[in-house]
Amino acid sequence: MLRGPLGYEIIKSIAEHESLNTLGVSNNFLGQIDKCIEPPAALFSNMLL
Amino acid sequence: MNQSVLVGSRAKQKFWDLYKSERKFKDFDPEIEETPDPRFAYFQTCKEKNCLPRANLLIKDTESPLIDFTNKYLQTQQAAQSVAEAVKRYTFPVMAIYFVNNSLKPREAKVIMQSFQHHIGTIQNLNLSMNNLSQSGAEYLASVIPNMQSIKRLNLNDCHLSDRGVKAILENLEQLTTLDVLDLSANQIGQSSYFKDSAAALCSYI
Repeated sequence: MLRGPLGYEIIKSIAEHESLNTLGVSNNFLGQIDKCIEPPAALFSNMLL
Repeated sequence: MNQSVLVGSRAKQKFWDLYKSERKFKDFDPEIEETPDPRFAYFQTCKEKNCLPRANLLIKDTESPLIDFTNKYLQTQQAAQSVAEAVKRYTFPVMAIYFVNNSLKPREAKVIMQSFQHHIGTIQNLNLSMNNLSQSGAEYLASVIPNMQSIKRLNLNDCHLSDRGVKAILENLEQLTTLDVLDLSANQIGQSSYFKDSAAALCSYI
């Protein structure tokens, strides 16, 4: 369950970042956010949800 | 300042010799200081704040462009303030700053972040993990992020960052094209939910 609009906003703005290659967001309250949005593959392949 | 006064066992001995001596650090006045030697500011602040100096907080094992306080306990305001006064006077080139697992609370974290402000343009790696930045620390960090023109890695793992705090940081990160790695693990992103069915609502919105 995706929890909270702010959580979504945050991930969306990270996903749009120009140079970022690796993002760690494990152990937060994001639930199955990867099933709810279609993020850029390059970025989210390194995510630890 | 020569970095050698802060490196190695000889520097440690000199540190304690200086502490025991009658030298002018005991009358050190930051307003009219003549020397950038961080030891003077550290000793004087320890004296003012009534806390015992610790050599291993200032003396490093090897010379490097790194400020590393990993696993060093700085929970009290006095300890954080004393270290901050020393770090402010580090004049050697600094490429990386690690304050990790220091038991910093938001106020102390801000004091520490203020102390390395004049290195902010050159640091490539900043790690503040396992300290309590909370909202005030996040807001302060967000305010200095635009000056981090060389930053490549930013680690904020387990920093008690809420959605609002992370959002403030991210808004300023957008302009930094050097950033390669961002670690926001073990914070509170997504916890500020107040809609029961937020997932469904957002999915339909998307």
